[in-house]
Amino acid sequence: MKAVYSGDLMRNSRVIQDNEVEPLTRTTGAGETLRRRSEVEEQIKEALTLDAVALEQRRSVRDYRSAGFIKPEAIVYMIRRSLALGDDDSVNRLSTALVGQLTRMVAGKVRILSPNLRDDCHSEIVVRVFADIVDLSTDRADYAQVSFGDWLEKRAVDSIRKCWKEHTQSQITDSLTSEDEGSDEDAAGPEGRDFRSSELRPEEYGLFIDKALSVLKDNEREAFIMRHFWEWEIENADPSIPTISTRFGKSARTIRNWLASADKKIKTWRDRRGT
Amino acid sequence: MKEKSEMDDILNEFTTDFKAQGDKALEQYVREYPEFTEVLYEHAGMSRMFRHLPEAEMTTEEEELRALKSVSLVQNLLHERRTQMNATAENEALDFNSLRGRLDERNVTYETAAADLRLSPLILKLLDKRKVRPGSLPRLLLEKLSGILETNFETTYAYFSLKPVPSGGFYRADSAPTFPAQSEFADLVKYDPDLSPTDKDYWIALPTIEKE
Repeated sequence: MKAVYSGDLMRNSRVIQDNEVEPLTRTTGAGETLRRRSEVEEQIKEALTLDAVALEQRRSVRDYRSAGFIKPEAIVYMIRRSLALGDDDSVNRLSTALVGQLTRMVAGKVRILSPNLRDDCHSEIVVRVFADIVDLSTDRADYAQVSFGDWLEKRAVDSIRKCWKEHTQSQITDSLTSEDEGSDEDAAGPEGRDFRSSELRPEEYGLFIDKALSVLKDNEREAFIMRHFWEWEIENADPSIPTISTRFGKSARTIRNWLASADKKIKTWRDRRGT
Repeated sequence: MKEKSEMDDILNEFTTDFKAQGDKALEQYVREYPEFTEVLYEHAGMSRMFRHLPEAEMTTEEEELRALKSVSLVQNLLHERRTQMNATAENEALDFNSLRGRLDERNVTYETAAADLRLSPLILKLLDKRKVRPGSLPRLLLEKLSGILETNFETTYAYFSLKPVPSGGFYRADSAPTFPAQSEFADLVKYDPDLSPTDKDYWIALPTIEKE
């Protein structure tokens, strides 16, 4: 059996055997060491026995319902193993396969953002995901081998938060006008509750996010999502409760005006569509 | 203030727990980590939306274009990583005074190392003086040697890729030091009087780095 020294795993100064699947090392908050699901472990062992042609065929399967689909958790392990073994060719092929699997997933998540921010944020998520995977000096990517979907989601949220903070915040600062702080007579009630996301039918949800929210300015869109999809309050006497007002550093009146403006635009959009 | 990696772990766990337990998990994490309240609420809000948001509808062309862009980003990352690693390996190779020195530090003699590697002490000495052309070495030899020296492949390879130890040029020598020609690893193995035929076959059968 071939045994090779793993340069990148030199912190352990150990040798990886051909068919050995190294256990995860990261521990949870409760002090338990993370473990891969048994089906992931089996897929890795199987993949290590496949010849290059068979593996290539399996890697090209993108539909997770297909029998030959290699789970992203297994691909992450194999990328790290190939990096440790200095097998650049495999690293490139496996990374391409993983990109193929996550493209639609990421594109789905960045729909929360306005269309002009989606592409940059998509790139940001891809970079965050792979930066952790290829960093062999840490076992941070162990989570990705336990539940890739959750791990990806966490990175997507981080990136979307960053995009919002950088973009919307600068836009608010740039375009601050007196109308933001002006009269709130147009506001739709004290809490702007004309719309409820729970009233959207499942088939409407994506369309609403893509089309209806695109008629809003970025600050209105973000405030509208927080109010109607996250159900955050505009303000709260308890400072420990996150509110839209504190999130933007704006008065409750300003937020109400943004929401009133957003509600009006959404109502017009819905009236035009007859929904 | 929590370390960044600790916060990363907490949010990884929260993402999974929130999916399973919803608001109960949010309350529990906020109670346990009040300093992350806003972040946890934001994660919860987006997680709720992701649950309802289907995968993006994209044409094959749009998907391929997006994937190509992502692959290019990943290639850049990998390139940066390789450049960084090569720089580290070169620096370490400069500290890597000699094979003998590294073995001594680990209380390993030439003879023991040679036996472990199925090579002769003579070949190890020639390797130490970098009198063997690096491209003619089998990858497995460098990997095994890296294991013995407790370093990584790149550093060992970088050491063997430095200029050979000069011959001559002793204090007040008549001539300047010269860099000897390097031998092929397979030739050294083939003509080594101390190696058994089995060990010779073993090494000669392995592909060299340049022929991989």
